[in-house]
Amino acid sequence: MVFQNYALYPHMTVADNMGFALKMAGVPKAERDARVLEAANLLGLESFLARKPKALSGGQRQRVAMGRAIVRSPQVFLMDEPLSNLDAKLRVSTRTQIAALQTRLGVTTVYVTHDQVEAMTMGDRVAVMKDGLLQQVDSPLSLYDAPTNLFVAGFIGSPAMNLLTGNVVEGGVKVGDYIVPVPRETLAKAAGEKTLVVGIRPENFQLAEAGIGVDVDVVEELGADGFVYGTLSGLSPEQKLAAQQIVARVSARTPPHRGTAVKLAAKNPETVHVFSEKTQARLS
Amino acid sequence: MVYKGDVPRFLASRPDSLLIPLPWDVPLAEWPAEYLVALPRGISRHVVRFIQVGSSVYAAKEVIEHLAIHEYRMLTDLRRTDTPAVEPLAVVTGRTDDHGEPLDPVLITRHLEFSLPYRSLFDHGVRPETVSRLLDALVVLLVRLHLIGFLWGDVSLSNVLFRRDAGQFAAYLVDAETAEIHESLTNGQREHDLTIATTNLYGEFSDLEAGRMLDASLDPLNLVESILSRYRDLWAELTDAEEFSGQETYRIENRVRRLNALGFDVAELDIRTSADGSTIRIQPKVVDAGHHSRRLLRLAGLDTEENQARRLLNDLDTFRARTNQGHVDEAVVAHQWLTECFQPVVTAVPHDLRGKREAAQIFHEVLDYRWYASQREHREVPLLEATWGYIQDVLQALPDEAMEATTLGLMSGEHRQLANPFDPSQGFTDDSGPMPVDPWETDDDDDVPDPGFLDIEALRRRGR
Ligand SMILES: Nc1ncnc2c1ncn2[C@@H]1O[C@H](COP(=O)(O)OP(=O)(O)O)[C@@H](O)[C@H]1O
Ligand SMILES: [Mg+2]
Repeated sequence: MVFQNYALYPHMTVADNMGFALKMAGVPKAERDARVLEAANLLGLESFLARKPKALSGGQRQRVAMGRAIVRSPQVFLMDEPLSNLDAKLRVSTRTQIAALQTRLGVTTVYVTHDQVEAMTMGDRVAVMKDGLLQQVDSPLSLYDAPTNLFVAGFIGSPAMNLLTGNVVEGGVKVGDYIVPVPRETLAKAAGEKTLVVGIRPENFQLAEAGIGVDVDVVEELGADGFVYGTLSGLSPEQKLAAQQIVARVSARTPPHRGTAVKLAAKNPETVHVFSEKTQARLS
Repeated sequence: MVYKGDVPRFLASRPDSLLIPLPWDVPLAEWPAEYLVALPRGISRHVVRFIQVGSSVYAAKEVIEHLAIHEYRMLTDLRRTDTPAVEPLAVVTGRTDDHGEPLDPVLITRHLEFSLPYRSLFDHGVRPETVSRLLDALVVLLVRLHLIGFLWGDVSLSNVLFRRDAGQFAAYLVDAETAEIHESLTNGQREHDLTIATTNLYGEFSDLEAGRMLDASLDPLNLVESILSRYRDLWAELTDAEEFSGQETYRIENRVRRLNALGFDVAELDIRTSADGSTIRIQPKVVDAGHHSRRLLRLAGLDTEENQARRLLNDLDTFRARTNQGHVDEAVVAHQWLTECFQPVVTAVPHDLRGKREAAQIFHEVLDYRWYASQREHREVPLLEATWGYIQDVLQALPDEAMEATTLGLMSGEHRQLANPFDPSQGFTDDSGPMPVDPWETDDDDDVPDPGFLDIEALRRRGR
């Protein structure tokens, strides 16, 4: 078992800060030095080895702490929120370097984070937990493309997937005045349920002749694309206040204007997600 | 104060309005010195500062939200179970800087008065016996935590504060960020904490050794091994089953007395007799620390450390015998003792010297002083005379331990100056030299794009 803490010992050199646990375990000096040097190489810390930790940056301290774990050649690393005390800019670059380091070391690493971007970009497999319960373990793309339940669907991706509740009707689920087409086999899995939740990612929406009616509240243009934020058409002003926001990604060449009404339909009907409201589980 | 950023939120059980006007929109590391107090403290990984709030001193630690709240709750639970720990006051969340960028929350605890972080103790040079007492205090704390199902997760000298406790020390927990509370701990969980304790303490003792602050006769490895044996002995005494013949029922009483002597009360003792009555098996099921301090609190209303209470209770017993009041109710005698012995000593101490020691500790030291004076002079030195002598000969010369900034001198030692007077983790000014180039932190052009959102297209291209 390896654990690490970040507190660096001010009187000891960076090398000793990395190697002290080996010394406690009685590892001979020559071997200790070699393992410390090897870890320092991996972490870009060679030229710091003889220094005291004074004046090291937050990121450098963190790497010395990682060096402590690496020199002990563990079979598994557990990194619990390792970037949490770095500033935003350093978080991103250190994240990339940790990922590269992990690839070079080839040691299984369990990485705990509250940041889904971190999880999705670093993980080979991601386990999504909620309230201590495992929701889904999958590759990042499978989590994104086939979330197993409503929680994962709403949690992964930003802006989040639109999750719209509607009545089950012949051929699909009726949201507002529009029937979102859902294959018969999928509907069959929900026998007895009167309402279902359809999930459509913002980038899977397009402006269409027939679609879900949406009143546009805000249009946000980001380079080639824009995001349209709105609410279901046909609601009273009070209902509107409480209504769920609908987000669509549209081409910035033809963005709708705020205050207008548009119709949104799925670009790709196969990637419309369908969930049971009762069990929260995926049906499609 | 006008916030350019968002208005912070305070999570607290008893909010302190004086906290509100502090510069929450500034990262803690950059707070102007006018808000800060330089007091000795342990090393840390977070930014920790002591701040002056009205007439109080608080400790502030900048840490991510869920950990700040977790630690706040853990410390609250510890206080509920009367376990020595720093007192949590608030978590300040929703901080942003003047560009609107979010800042990590700050956990606020009350600065533990008269506490001695190990680094300031060692800066004076510490005798080997003292090191041994510090370890005893740490072990008692760890055992107490384990008895209530508290898995610490980061046992270290930096994460305890020591207070004088008569001739011993009492240890308080400061850092509960990694802690978990369980119904009870398994042996594996306790071993986990011990492994962490040995590694951390080995590192800390090695650091003291590297700074030439550890007595040459002490060896870090021996020290940490002794922690393990002390812990196991105490744990066994407090929890092991004991079997004896049905004739030896006095051994039940013996066990209870032994536990009391160690400072524990037995709340539940499991006693089983074999079917034929030939053997008895006893096992303490619930033991509570604080046997003496609880008794003193009940009798005299004094809230003290365990060994101080032991000492004061002994003096109370002596007083009772001397005044021939064996038949009088204990609480009545205790009240007399308080007004005739304890309070006169405490009030005799001039105000400007009260920051040097707590009242109960002064009383203990006066009793010691009187004993030596009486030996020397072959007469019974009266208590007040001893008190004056103690103030003259001892107390005057002691460094302030309450929280005066003069203690800063302790931190820097004779030959070493802290690089940052507010943060010992930054080391000392004497080890400088130009910073080498860091290949990981050089600001080259392949700057990584914004972290803000999940770029799913990039992920698809990489085929993950
Ligand atoms: N309430 C307090 N009273 C006195 N000292 C404190 C208090 N809180 C923290 N400290 C000092 O600050 C140091 C660092 O605090 P800690 O909570 O351990 O931070 P970290 O989580 O970064 O290790 C401790 O070693 C202790 O000396
Ligand atoms: Mg700490």
